[in-house]
Amino acid sequence: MKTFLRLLGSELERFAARRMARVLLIFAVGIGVLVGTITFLVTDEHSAPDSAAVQECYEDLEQWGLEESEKEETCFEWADDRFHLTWLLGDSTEDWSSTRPTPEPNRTEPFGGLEGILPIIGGLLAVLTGGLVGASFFGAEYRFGTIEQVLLWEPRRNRVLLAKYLTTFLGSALVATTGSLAIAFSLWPTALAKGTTQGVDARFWIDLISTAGRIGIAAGLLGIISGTVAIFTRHTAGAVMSLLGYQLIGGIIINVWIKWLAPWDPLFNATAFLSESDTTKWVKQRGFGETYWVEVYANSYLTAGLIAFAIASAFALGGFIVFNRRDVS
Amino acid sequence: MSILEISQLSKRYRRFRHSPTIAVDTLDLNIEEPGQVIGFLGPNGSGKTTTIRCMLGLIKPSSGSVTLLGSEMPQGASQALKKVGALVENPKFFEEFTGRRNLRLLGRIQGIRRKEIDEILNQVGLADAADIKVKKYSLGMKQRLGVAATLLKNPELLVLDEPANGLDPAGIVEMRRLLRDLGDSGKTVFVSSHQLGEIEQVCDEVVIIDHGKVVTSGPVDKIVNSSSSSTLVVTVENATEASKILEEQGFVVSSRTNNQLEIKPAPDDPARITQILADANIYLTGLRSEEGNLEEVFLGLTEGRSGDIL
Repeated sequence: MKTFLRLLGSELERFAARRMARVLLIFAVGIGVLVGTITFLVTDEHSAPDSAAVQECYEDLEQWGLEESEKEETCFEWADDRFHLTWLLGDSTEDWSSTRPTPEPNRTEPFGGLEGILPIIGGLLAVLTGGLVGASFFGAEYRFGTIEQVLLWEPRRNRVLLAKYLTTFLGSALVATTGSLAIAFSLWPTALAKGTTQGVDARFWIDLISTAGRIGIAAGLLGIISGTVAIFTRHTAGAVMSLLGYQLIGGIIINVWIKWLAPWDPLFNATAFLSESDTTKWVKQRGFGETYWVEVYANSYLTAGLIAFAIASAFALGGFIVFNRRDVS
Repeated sequence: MSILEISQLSKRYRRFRHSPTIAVDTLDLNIEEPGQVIGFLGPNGSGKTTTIRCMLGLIKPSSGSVTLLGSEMPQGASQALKKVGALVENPKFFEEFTGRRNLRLLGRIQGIRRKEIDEILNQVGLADAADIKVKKYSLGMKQRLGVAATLLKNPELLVLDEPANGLDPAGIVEMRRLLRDLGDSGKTVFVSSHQLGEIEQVCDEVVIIDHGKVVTSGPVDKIVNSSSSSTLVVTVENATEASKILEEQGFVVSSRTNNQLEIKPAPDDPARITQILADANIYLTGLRSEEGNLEEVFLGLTEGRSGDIL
């Protein structure tokens, strides 16, 4: 155990030295600053909702027979032009358990989807960070030949690879989480000076931190997948191109021709997990003499997270097999 | 416990749409006694580096066995490599790190302390450059750092692949001294090199391989002093006539200069040459013996082949 911890310490230090890791960390924080600055500059200052405007909205909605709470929510939202800090998370501050339907396999309404500034930008950050960090960390070891040095000091390949996977996971998660929090805090000045922090309560903080954490976990899992591809290709560029190709082309292929595979797409599941969204699937339905595809509820965000974890684990297992069998030369 | 036992080692590389390349072909090699400096020689593509990698568990042999310090490789690598320091081909380090930090990263895996790292850096002459980034090192400095990394574990066996690569003459002399000192201190040094002059000076034994097989092995002086490598140089006024007479007597003669002849291999009794020529009224103005060297032996055994690069 002691030897493994020393090995892990060495790997973490190697990771920290990688230029890619530092660049991505700076980039992630920079994105936050940029988002905050742009938001501040483009946001106009508005006052709190005008009671007259709200009243007018109430009267307009009378004819629709809505509940009082629904009218209140709609009219305040409509009348309130201020920048809300709660937009960071979209509707994730709500209690999803009451809105999530019971499992009905053939529900025709789509669920979930990215809402909120943080899940959207954080999702992109997770994919970018995980993909690049994993590919770079493993690919560079082959490119510079330093993997050979490590194996001359610790020839037990399973330990070496486990330490590298842990390092990739932690490193990707750290960069993505830091970037997410940087984005979140960069919007504070806009909310304070030109908008409102209404709705920012303990529950918001819990949701914010847990969203940032989930973004980190998603980045870590994608880092493991990306690193494994780099083991197969023995090249950073090869891994990055493979993942880019999958993201651009694979998604189209799956959603057009192999629809049944969609709920198992790791990117799809990771994104759903980090944004606390349900996942969907395509089912065939017959109607009006035709067969057509309909998108329905598939899994909750927690199940999506488990699926992403399982897929990353399967990749890691493949990585262990290849790494153990392959010559280092 | 023997230091190294290689038995019928073979390594074949499969190639797409080509017949497989045989890098090592039923190679046998034994090093029994510790404290020796053993030279491992062969032309490019003869299988030296592949053999070394098989020894260290970096690649799996196609067949045969390797036992390193009593542990069968590659299964016993974790036991064996604790006592082995190895430098395979060019040293590989993180260019953005300093020399000291690179060694610390490696040493950390086995709990080697900073003080020991500083001592090693001093030993290889890198104390002043230890805190400079490796990307600014010359080739020779990187080579020294590579050797330093092999010494960190205080190993019983050092495996060095071309350690003098990139070193200037002073560095080569220093490396030679270091290798000899390590051998004298009881460590076994297994060094692969193309600098045959250095190998001849520093090694106790040599192993010469070609086409993946051992061609010859043994103590350096025994191999170098074999009769086929020594030469007798004869200086006469009428070299053409003298050459003809000696060839009629069964000697292998070649012309070196206008009045110098080379007889190789040298006869056991040089006086016979004097007698044969004197009988033909040809008188020598000079006669000297030239001992063979490792380079000649090597080229003779490997046919001067530069080899295919895998």
